[in-house]
Amino acid sequence: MKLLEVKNISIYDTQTKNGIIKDISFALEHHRNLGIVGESGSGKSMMIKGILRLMAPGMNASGAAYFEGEDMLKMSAKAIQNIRARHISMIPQDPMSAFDPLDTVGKQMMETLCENLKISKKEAKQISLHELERVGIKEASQVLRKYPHQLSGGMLQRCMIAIAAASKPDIIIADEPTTALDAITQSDVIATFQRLHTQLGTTFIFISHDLGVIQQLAQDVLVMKDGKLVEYGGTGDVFHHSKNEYTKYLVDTRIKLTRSFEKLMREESCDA
Amino acid sequence: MRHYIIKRLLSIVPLLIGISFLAFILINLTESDPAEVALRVNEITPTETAVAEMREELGLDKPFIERYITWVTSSIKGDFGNSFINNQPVIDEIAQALPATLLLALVSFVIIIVVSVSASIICTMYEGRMIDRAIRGIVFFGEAMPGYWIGLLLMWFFSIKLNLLPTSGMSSWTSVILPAVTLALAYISTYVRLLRNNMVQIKSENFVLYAKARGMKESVILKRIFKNSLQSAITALGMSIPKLIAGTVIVENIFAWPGIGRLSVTAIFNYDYPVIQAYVFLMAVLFVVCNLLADIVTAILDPRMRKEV
Repeated sequence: MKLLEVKNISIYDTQTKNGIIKDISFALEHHRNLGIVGESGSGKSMMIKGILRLMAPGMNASGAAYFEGEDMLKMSAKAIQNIRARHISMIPQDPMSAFDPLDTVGKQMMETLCENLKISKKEAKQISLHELERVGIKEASQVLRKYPHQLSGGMLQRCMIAIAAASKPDIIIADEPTTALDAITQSDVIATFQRLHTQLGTTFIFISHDLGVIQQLAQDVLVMKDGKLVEYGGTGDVFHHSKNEYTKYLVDTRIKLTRSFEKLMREESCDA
Repeated sequence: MRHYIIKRLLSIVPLLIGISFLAFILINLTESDPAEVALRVNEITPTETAVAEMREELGLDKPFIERYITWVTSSIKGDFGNSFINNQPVIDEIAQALPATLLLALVSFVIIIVVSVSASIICTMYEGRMIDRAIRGIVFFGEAMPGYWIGLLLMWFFSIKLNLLPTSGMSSWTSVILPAVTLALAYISTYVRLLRNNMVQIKSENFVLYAKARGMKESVILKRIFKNSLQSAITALGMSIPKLIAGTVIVENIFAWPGIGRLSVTAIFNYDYPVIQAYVFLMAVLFVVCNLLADIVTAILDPRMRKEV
């Protein structure tokens, strides 16, 4: 059985009837990470929010999204809350604004663990410390006491990954997981994802416009443009043997950019 | 945090000096001579010698700055001089009227908080639905209707038609209900709108999305939204509380409530300068102190405010 099966999902504005996501289907298989790529505004995040029923009011989703045989779009509020808590963790983009600014990161983290894993505060603290250390945070107890504005984007991103990992979900959806990060933090975060994938067997969905990251992490890839599916298949196939104009354009742009960057770097090193 | 409070406390000292100076100077700018007024209200013909004697008695013959310093130093000790009308110490007059006003202010305050918080939470939970629209409609009317009219309507309905509550005065504990409700209504509209709009706005913040995405309960999320929406409401409360205590002339007059508002109006009509001066000064101090408290509470709630100091 597929881990997650999305069938003909469409999302539209209930007032204007404007379609934002148009009839997209895909399936997530165990241990095969999926990358969703496309330019900004192509509806990548919106589609995920639609599946998890996290859309802003005034948006409506049609179609079906089966998790363990049950349609998430039709289940009760309580049931979807349970899925978000234990089975499908989402890490939203922009870590700097992802935590309540009035409370410490530790309190929010422990609150989540107590609630989702039904454990005591003491256990939640131990797990928090352990998970933070595993995502490469050295002074974990310090970090727990900090308010969100006192931590960097990379730190907060890792806190979110630690929270997701602590609940041991079946699926982790990471929305633009590397955009807000510098190159070194980026590679740390990617390593953490790879470790979770191999050690815990977590299946990931990555939403990104960074093709390099997707190529590194995802086995399957889904290309989106203007709310529509452009191409869907194995990462190697899509990136190297694509017949689709838009996908080729995306890949070529990426290659051009890397080339000019590499050229610049070479010139720099020659000058030096 | 301690630094912040100390710094803010120090910053109000020059403010208070400025306010006291203004309160003093305003009275001195009026055209009538206080000495003459003092004589007139006691029904003594203001002959030239009588005025001169009175000026000396009141210390008005001394230079302006000296008078100001004398007034400020004795004011700090709680001595605002004697009323022109009945020659009682001003501080006693105020102390007599204050409990009634404080009672009215406290009851209104409780009504304001309970009603606006619950109404705005209901509005946020059911945003855009019937109940939200209904509450907002009522709030709109509440804001548009003048306080004295609502006061009279309430009085007509509850006291005259239903004969449930006393119309005026301070005869029993139920007397406070009508004036307090009248007073509270004007504020409730403001606070429901303020809180509801803040909360609805915060609902679409990223941290709320993330809280939902990690499976937090609706009630926990609502608590966070509420706490985040408080900042501007607390600043506004810092202005509303002293306004409530300063007494509302209209409500106190309609309901014959023997509070500070009525005292000040009487003093103004009678040219009772020492009372007016004391009233202006004390209320200004109250405003400054309440604003300071509001800022401190905000800083306690929001760690980002503490950082800037």
